[in-house]
Amino acid sequence: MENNLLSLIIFAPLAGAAINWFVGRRVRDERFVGVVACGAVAISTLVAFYLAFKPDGALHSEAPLLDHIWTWLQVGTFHADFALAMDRLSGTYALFVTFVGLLIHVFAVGYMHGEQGFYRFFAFLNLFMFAMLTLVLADNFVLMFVGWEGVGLCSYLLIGYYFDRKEAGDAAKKAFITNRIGDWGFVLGIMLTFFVTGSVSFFANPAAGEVTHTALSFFQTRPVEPFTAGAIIAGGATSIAVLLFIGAAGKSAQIPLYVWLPDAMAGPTPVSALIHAATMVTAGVYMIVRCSEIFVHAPTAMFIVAVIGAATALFAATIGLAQNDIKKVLAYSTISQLGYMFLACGVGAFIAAIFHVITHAFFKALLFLGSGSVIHGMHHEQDMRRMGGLRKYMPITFATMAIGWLAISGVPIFAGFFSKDEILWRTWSAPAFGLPSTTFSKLLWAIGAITAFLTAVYMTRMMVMTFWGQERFRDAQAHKQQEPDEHHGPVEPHESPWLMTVPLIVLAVLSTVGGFIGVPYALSSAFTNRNINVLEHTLEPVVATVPPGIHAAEPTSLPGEGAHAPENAPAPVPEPVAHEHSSEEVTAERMLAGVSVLIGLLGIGVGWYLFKNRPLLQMPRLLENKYYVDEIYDAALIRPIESGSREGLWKIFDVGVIDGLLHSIGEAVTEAGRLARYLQAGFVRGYAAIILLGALILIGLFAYLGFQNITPP
Amino acid sequence: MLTLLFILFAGMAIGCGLAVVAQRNPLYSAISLVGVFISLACLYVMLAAPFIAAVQVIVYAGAIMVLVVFVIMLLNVEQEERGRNRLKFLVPTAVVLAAVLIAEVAFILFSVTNPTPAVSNIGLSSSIGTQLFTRYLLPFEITSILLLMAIVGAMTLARRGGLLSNEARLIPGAQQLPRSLVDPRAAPDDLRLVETDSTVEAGHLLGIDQRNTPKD
Amino acid sequence: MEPQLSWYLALSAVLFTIGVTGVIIKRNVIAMFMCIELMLNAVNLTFVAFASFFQDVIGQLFVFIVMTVAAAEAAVGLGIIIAIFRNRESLDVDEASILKL
Repeated sequence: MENNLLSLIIFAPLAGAAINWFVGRRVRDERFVGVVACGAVAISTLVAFYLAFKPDGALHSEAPLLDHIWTWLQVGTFHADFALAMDRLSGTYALFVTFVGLLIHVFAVGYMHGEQGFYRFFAFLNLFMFAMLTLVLADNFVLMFVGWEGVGLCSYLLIGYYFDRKEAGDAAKKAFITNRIGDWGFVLGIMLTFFVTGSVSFFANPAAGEVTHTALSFFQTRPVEPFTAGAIIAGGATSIAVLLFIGAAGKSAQIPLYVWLPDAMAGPTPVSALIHAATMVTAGVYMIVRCSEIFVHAPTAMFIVAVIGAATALFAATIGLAQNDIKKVLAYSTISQLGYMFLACGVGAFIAAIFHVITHAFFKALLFLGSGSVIHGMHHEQDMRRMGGLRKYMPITFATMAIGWLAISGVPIFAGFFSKDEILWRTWSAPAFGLPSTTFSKLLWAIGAITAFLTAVYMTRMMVMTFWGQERFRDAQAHKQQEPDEHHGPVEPHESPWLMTVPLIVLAVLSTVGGFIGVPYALSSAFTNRNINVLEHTLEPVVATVPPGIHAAEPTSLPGEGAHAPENAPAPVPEPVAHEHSSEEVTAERMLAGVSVLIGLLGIGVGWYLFKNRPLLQMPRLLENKYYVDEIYDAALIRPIESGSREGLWKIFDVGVIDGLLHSIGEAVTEAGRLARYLQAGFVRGYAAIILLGALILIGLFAYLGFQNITPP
Repeated sequence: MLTLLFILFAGMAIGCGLAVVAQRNPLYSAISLVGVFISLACLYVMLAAPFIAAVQVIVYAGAIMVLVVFVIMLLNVEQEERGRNRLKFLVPTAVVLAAVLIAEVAFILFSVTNPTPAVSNIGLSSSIGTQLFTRYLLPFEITSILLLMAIVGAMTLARRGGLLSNEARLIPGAQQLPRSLVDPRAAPDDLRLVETDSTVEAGHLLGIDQRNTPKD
Repeated sequence: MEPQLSWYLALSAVLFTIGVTGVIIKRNVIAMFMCIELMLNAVNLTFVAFASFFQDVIGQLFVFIVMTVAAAEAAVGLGIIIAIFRNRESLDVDEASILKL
């Protein structure tokens, strides 16, 4: 149904950005800029909440809310308009994106206090909200790509906010370029989608003209593609899915395109919290869940997604164990958690992935903002080796970060426990759809479990190094007297102002209770008979489900729009989790939940034991240097490209061929002129020779003509 | 018999012609050219044109070449020029072009049939005179006008006009003259002065006849 | 056999070629002038030969005119040569290449 309020959600931040850019630059009043920026996002939040929760709002209705703003591309029946659509999935996303964004905006007003480019920061931040919401609320691939690029651009602008620092500029470029590589895959995926299905829309929109099918519904009646390597290049659903995943890997920092995210910590901390923890990096997950219909027809692609997700999770967790910069630890933690989300997508647990996105937004934003508070209170000191014992000085920060710490480690009732446990359970019990066998899923579960253990360990290390123990920053004072930076005297850590602590508190509350929207039946059945998994009920109709078994399946009678029903091949059996819960399943799930709790507590214990008394314990050099991946990329890719461009394309082609062509044309003209000079040099003998030449030509002509009239003797 | 004569005179003509081109001393070239003229006159006689033969010897060998030899002696030219030859590439060019010309002519000459030689009496003085004064009178008269033009032109060139007109006078007193008035080889923009001590000397240098100077 | 027309024409062509080669090769002005005279004589030979073989007197009359013109040209040309020599003291034809007085 048409609803014109939707456009307000995206245009309010855009207006805020414009006002801050043009007017805020003149006014230069922090209050004005802050109020405009936060107010714009607040408007978006309110409208989003209203549209989602009203009686026939997005979260309750079957059909999405649509808003066709203007016709952008239209050729025959092909539409790619500037049109928004809020269905249950994008509504859920819009809710937490706007709300967490609002909290981070408020925090940033306090954090960026005193900065010269205050107005610039908030203009870009609002622009980012505009782009992100466009991405989430787009009703077709092309508009989503516009938002995709927009968030990439804003990421570049914001990472490079401190443009006078070289590493900030380099990090911004690295982020943008790595994203671009992913975008290549994404664009190819969009093109292939259009080529295969004839449409790029997600929703059939009767108001804009009858569309016989959308890009997603095209696949609903198609059979599942085979699980072979050849399917990747066959040009069907698997190819599309792999290409889309390349785009998601670039945006959401998976192997091999994750290298930009740790460097992006050079930007201000609110940027890291908003863009690189809560929203932009989850855009890849959103896109995959949105295209779940395509993915459930491409088991090979799902296999790739699951494997890369699991590998990234483990890989990043090992690196995070050895980092000394508080923000780098959180960055690698983000990459690792994103790996979890992709693992969930890969085994078909799309709703679990979204659940983890939401809870991760809460506790990761909390952790980042808390680290921002710590950094602010330590006068921009980021190295954990020079912190310690801060819990006396920053009690609120400490308390909220502790909640975030427990959430990410998977301690029960905090949000992270429910979502992470859901993912691990789904991995363990995954059907052999996108996987070679069911034992493979146990292997993936094991990787996920080890990662959970490591997560708890390194988070504990981070907390212990920062908040407990000896106050190492006092010793560091003596060394720092000579450095000409913002230290005006002995550094005394202090708690942050209320502008910064209130968002922390709100996020801490959300991290505590946020998990209850998705309590699985197996756990809630211990207390009540009803299935209180609100999230699952909400998202189930819009997300596709995976048929169990590779090729063998029976026709289904599963209600709901997202069900897969192949025509000729036997259809899958109904998912037991959705409607039937066999007692073996429930028991198995409860046991795994217990195992997850044990892993989390074990990790905390190990971390506490290892690092409480020896916070400066040296971690393996290989991990600390992040497996030298950046150096490998530099040597294997960047240097050859650079030298190839410089020597080959520039020196040989541009200077040699193109410039050489121009020079040689010029020189040819000069040489011809030099030769022609002799004609007018005044040398009579030369003139005589030329006259003779002309005469010879004429004689020859007449002889030739005359010869033709003579009969041979 | 006639063939033999032809070969003799033709050989002489070609030999002397080559000598004209090959000799360094222009005087030797002039003598060789006289040899060419004589042999051509003999050929004219073989071709039944006695009048033309006589006129050839009288006019060419007797008048034109005498004039040329006078000029050679006057200018005291004895050897080929000494300057750097900047157009050395013209020598092979000329040889090539000459070869092409010979080739074309040979091609033409081999393609035509020869008319039969016949005895004729058109070359006698009386027949030439008759034609010249009746039918071809106009060219004859125009030729005489042409000769008039030549005389006038030669006289104009022979005047020692130089850069100053004949009416030029010198004012008495010490003179300072630019070099180009005095030295014809100086560049036109060479403004170094030539100092003279008296009007008389300046007059000598400039070639002005001081006897025309008014006495004041 | 008697000398054919083509022989005379061939001889004339050879003399003409020698003359034109001399014009291009020689640097002395007077030598160049003499080669021009050689060319003119070669052409005279052609005219007389044609007049003889085709029994037409116009050929010989033409030679008459040509000779007159050659004489006139010789006079004026040598006058010019002397005038140039007075200015430059050199009889190299390449020296007279500045195309101005």
